[in-house]
Amino acid sequence: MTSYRLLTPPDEKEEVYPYRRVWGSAVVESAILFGVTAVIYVAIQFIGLSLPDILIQPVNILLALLPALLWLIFSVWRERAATEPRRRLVVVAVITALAANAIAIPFVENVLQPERWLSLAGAVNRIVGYTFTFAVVQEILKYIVVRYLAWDDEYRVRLDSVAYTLASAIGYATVLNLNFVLANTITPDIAAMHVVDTVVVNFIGSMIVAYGLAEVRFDNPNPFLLTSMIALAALVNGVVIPFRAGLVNAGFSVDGSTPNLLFGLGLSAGSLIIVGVIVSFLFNAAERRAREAAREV
Amino acid sequence: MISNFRRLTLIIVIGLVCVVPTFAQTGFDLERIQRATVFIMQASSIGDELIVRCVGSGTLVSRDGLILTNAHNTLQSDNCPGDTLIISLSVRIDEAPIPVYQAEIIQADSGLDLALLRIVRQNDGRLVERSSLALPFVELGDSAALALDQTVTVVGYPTFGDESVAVQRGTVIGFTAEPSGGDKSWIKTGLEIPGTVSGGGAYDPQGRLIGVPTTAPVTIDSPQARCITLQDSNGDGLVNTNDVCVPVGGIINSLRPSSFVRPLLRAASLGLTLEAITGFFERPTVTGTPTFTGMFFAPSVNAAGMPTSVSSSLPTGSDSLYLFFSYTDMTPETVYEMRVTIQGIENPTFSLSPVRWSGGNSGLWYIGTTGQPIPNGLYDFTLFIDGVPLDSARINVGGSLEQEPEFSDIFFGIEDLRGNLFGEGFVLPTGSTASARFIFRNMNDGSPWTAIWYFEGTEVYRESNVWGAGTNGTQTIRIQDPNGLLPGSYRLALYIDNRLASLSDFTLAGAQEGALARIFQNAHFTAASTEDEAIDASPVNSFTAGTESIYALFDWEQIRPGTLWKMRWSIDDEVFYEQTAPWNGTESGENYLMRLSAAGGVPDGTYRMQLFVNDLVFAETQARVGIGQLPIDRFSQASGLQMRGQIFDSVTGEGIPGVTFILVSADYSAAEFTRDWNQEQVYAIAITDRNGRFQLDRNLQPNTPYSVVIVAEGYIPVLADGVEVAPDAGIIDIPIYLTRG
Amino acid sequence: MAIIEVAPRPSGLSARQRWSHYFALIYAVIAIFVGLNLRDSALNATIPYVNSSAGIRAYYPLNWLLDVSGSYVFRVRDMSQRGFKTTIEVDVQPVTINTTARNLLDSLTLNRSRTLSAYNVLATDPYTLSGDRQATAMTYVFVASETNPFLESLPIVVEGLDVITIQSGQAIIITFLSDERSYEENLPIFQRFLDDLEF
Repeated sequence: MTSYRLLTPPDEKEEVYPYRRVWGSAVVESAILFGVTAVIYVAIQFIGLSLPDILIQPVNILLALLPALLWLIFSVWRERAATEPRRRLVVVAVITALAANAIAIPFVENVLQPERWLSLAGAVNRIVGYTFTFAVVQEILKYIVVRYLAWDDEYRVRLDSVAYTLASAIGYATVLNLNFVLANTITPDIAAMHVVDTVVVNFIGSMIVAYGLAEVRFDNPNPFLLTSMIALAALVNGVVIPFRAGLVNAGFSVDGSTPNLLFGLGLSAGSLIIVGVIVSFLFNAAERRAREAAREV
Repeated sequence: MISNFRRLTLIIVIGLVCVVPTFAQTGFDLERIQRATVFIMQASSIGDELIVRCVGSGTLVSRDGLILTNAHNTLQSDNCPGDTLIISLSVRIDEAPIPVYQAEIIQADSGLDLALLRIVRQNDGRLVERSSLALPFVELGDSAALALDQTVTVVGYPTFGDESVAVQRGTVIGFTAEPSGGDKSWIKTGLEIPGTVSGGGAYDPQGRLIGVPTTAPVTIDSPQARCITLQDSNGDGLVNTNDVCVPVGGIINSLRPSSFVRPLLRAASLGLTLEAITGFFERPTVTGTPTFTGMFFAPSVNAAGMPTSVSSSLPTGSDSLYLFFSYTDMTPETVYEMRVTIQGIENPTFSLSPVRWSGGNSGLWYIGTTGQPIPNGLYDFTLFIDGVPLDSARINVGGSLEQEPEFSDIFFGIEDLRGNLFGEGFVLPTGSTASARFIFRNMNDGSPWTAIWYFEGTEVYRESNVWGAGTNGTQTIRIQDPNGLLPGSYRLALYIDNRLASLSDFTLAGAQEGALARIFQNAHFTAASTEDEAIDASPVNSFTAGTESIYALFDWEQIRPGTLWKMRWSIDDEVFYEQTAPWNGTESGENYLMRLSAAGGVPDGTYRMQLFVNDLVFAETQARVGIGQLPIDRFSQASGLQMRGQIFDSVTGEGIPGVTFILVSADYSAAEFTRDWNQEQVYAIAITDRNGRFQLDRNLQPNTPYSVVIVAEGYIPVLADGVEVAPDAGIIDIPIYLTRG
Repeated sequence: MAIIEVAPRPSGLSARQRWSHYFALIYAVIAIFVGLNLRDSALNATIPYVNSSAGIRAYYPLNWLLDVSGSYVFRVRDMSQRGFKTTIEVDVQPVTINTTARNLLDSLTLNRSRTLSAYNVLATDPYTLSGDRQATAMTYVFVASETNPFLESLPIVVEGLDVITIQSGQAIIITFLSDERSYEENLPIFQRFLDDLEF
């Protein structure tokens, strides 16, 4: 019998990253959310799973809270493991939720009332209408909350901007979702899809605004950049909402037609990925620029 | 294996053969028919309560709430003294009807037992705007085209409103002839239809109404009367025999053909009202007890409704038989019935269930059948009034044709000096002589024969002789009075060996104008603002559109009171009024004045008034109103395909209330409509109910490219062009999903 | 290998940062103003209606269904509204020299009481139309229900406003009907309609 002596390389000194990795958390949360929605959809639409009536509303409420729960687990909870945790994530989310429920949503529904006058508008007017009502109010509110609760004191690295704006998005989306499931009697698959759509729309807008806030905080950009990012976030939302409605819309046929809900889900997923990739690229590029600038110094 | 396959194929083929005839009824929209079938309650107020006095079925025949039903359960009478007509609808097909509206009678014919009601109020008493109603209705079919063995579907309410609308399918097993409507005065089916279905509808395979199942309950005082107590009408806390009893008829096997309905419906749908201003169109009051006497059989009738000859038996293979009898003191409210047995077994094909009297007060009447095989056997015919048998007769069918001495085909006229007979056959002018010519066959010289002339039921002249005119030929006889024969109704009865051989009635009326009678003259239309003005106004042939009322006048000569005459009004050759009644005025006179009016003006069209005696026209006049042609009623068609559906929220899956569904006319696109938003471009419109359900208020025509616009606040509008439906699509029930946005 | 980059806590905002936020807030104000403006433009958009035989010129809301087939001069309805369709109707009736607005209101009340459920007059007040023309306004309510008995629609409480003025031997009756829940919200549309109405 021959014996061998194993040689192991010397331990490489691991460099510790003191912050939670925001992109990873966001990807995991989104993936789980899409996964849960897909499972519920398949279970109800294809397998024929039917919940007792008494359970439907609690399940729908749970689904409306699911993004917040996932965020608490994969973002807030993991902050505790980080050397330098972001301390105001929960505060930002809660304040956004409260402000959305008390100010933004009533303002949109009762003052701007897009549903009242946009229903007969054409495609372009619909995009403009949504951009300057629902979307702009949503993005401005989230910007203001992050700006005054986190931007001054809590921004240490660029990705802090993403972490806080996503916290704000979670707050806003959760309020919208809770309002929706409490106001409508719907099956959980429909509730899950709506939850995903709302979260995606908020994530997209927040990621764009996050870039603007980070740039203003860590760079010295053109003073219009932040404004442009808020406007862009509103515009993207203004495009995505009616475009998704158009995709889902069943149209009319004498033989009957059914809505294309999966198209809406697909559009949400696609939009999130595209905007996520672009924004992360912009963040990486900005960091690279910052590093190069530091090296030159 | 092959054997099993063949068996399976055979089963499938048999299955298809059995199933296809039931469902391959092109255009037969049963659901629409069921929805158009209403339950009618006639009620009266006792204290604070409405007490139901009579019930029956009815059918909506226009979208704005015209209902066809029987007169016996809607017109006020001793049997049905109620003053409120409550209309219940089958809001859900499989459930009992629900009271929704109140109606009023706008046209009725007691004798034909038909009535047209109009929905005028909601059940809570609010007036209903006619234009706001868009009710499901049925179109009338051509009952004259109906043939033996054709499938009919009868729809009505089988009980006192506590069951859903019932549908029975059967075949036409015969037709009953009467003077009121010729060979197809009644349609006979093999179905046993419950009495409360009376007033409902019978439909051809295309879903058109071809008859009204009709039976009248006998007078409530009759020992044969049947009734059911429904409510505690006297408030004593008990529902018993002291409470109001609702009369109910027995099993129905007769349908009143739709051809009788058309005039009523035409007048009602045009809103026309015809009034006799200085005329006397009311029936004379009858005080005596109704009687049926002198029953005899005839193998056929002539154009005047008179028997061609008298038969005591019929040979094998006969397909025509008429029972004639004299009647007196009959009224439209009298319920009569004929029961026929063959070899002692009751036969529904030839029997007539209890129905109302559609003739005059007295005269000659027949009930018969033609064009259908009459099986051999001994036939007993019994006539009833109010359930009480009055008279009966027997005839044997079978064997070969017997060559008996025979008189037939009596024809009346004025004789010229050469013995030629002129005239219109059964209406002669007043004068001193009336002649009759008849055909004789198989006569033996030396046989005794008798001719008896009657005037208003009383024998006035008898001529008994020994036959000496040969075996076959024609013979002319006459009645004369140097002082002139009185105008009125005459009858000639011919006997051979004291056996009735032939009989016929004729009318003497009017002044002599050649061989013809001049009964009515100077018939004309005129325009006037008052009735007095109308009498002196000049004749008018053309009226301006929107004329509020037009007057018609005529003079008359030598008509004895009681003589049956008929007035018919038509528009564009469609009859909208026809009434046969005994003359109830002076013998001669001027300016019989009628007024035709309509709310909002008499509709454009060509109007004609015709005056008849014994189905012969003696005067007519015609005039145009407006363009002389009826405008097209775009809502008069019940045909087409019904579109309905449910609109859902695509997210919640719940029905959306208050959504507007607009079907745009084929001439416009959805984009054009949403640019203009003009009602003129709308073909039909619907608003969804609390469950998101909608129902278009107008049927779609097949293969027509409509556009659809669906709008609701908060939802993306749905626009679609080229929406076509196939002719065989049936009811189109579409689920539609709207997306928020 | 990750690079840890920690930004120093800013001692104060730079001018660019400050202006960035100012611009963002200015944009917020402008965007909301634009949103409100878009809303008003959409809700207040009108199109003209001219009926020379009745001598009426009006501007009615865009995308409302125009109907001239009834017994009125014209009627427009907002078909996109859920439930009762907000309606403006103009009718012209001949009057005598003795006819007063009060007579007309009484006549309307009597006729409507026969057809409308729970019809009830709330108030009658003087009203001034554009050009200082005097009119009378009557506010009323009734319960509207679906005419199709085969549908399950719930009754809707409708609030109505008639503005009546008599001129040149005819009475002009301008009627506004709206779901009672959205009456106040829709009333400005009617008021703008009255302001633009020429007869």
